[in-house]
Amino acid sequence: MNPDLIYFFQTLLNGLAVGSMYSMIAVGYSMVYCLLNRVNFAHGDLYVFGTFISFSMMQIFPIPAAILFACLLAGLIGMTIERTVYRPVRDAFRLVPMISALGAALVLRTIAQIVWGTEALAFPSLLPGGYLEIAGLKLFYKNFVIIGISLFIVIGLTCFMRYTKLGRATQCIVESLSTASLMGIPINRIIPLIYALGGFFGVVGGVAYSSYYGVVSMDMGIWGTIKAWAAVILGGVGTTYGAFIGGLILGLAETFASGYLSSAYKEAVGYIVIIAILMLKPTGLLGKKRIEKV
Amino acid sequence: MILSVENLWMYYGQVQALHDVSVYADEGEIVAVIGLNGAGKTTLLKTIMGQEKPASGKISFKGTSILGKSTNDIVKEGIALVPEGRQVFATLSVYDNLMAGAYIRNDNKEIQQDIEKYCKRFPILGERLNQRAGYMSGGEQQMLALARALMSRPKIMLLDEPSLGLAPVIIKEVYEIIEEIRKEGTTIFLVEQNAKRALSVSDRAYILVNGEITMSEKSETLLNNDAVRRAYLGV
Repeated sequence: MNPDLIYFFQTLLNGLAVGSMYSMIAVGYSMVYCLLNRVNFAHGDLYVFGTFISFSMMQIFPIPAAILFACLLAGLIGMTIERTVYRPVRDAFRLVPMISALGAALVLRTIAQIVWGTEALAFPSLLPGGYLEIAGLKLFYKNFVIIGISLFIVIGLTCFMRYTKLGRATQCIVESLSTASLMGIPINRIIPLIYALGGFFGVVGGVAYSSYYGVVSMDMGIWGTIKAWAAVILGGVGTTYGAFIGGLILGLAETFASGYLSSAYKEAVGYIVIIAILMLKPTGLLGKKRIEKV
Repeated sequence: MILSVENLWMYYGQVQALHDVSVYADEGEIVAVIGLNGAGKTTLLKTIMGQEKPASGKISFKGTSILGKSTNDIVKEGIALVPEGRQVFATLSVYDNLMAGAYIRNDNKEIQQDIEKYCKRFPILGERLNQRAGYMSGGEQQMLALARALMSRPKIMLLDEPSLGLAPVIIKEVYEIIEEIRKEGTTIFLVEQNAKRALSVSDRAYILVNGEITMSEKSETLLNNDAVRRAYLGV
């Protein structure tokens, strides 16, 4: 095959894998974002915190158990964050929950720095190492594993939202808290679950990210928040697959930018793509159109 | 007495919203609360539903106090509110809106039967079952809001200004439906600015002025009361 073409497909495959990782972090973020309708600053630090937990647990327990434990713990912390920093200020001015979430993020970050230090740590590569070579194209197994896991998560969550009673109730809550409660939906029992799911899948994404790059560091937190937020805005608020598509596009844009221009431009190009899409379609690619009737 | 509110006091901060309000509804009745904008009608309904906390007073449903219960538990008891401005879930389909109304039920078979029943009763809902509720007109949304509330099979239905923002012909239809709902055994407690409509359909009515009940009479009597006619009926 033509080397240029090989390079293109190689970049495409890498981009899809990177995008899938963004998607995993974004789908959990998306659910919470719908509820809050504002940036959840605690998400990034929560998923990195969970990834650190899985890192430490792996030293003692078998790897699947360590990851599961970390995901569940992050879910629990997510619920705690909802209860302590979001619920008390639910009806307050919209800036207030953002600030209290920043506080929660700082608490998590500080604990992480005390326990694991401020340096980046080498994370074990849990993904299969080899590759399959077809016509000069190296198909890395780890890329396919990542893409597979994120597809599984997004399809699962979409089905959950659409076909389960809990998922339908979540959609009602997202649209209007007070009307949802008028349907008999116990909002204060369901909202914590949504935060738990956000934390849980965030850590799945975080573990995937850290094993892919072989590193875990607290810096991933703020970048994760920004990327997840960008993915959600890009794909459209209100749908799980919107966040997924947004994450993919962001990952592809960045990977192609570093592959064809320079890795220095990758973030900038990612955001230029977002701005361009939002200029053409302000609700995001798949965003639900809000209908305001007077 | 299916619903009784006694000596309810309620404040928004320093502002008094309800002033020693006592109202009740007997089983099978249509009871109306007439009042102008800001009289406290919506506040009264929200307080019954547990969405606002009163300073003092008693609220009971079938003889048991429901004060302090969460909204979702109050719905489970058998009270449904059709909120002001309908508040359908705009991004969800008509079907999903009806399913949301049936959230407290677990008898899936009968839920589907009820959906069929209301699609017959409100043909527009049947036609638009898979469309987004937000694309419907105000009148159609009001039908959906009524059907959605009925999906929980309430013993009593609270209606917050069912005529608000609707064309006269639609208002007429809405009130016909309200009478039908009562015939099927659901008690109706409604608050309205549209005094003429509300008084002609209800058995008894209260006049609410600045958070205070000033009159409580048979609706017929109020329709012929000079002061009421001047203040609310524009004659």
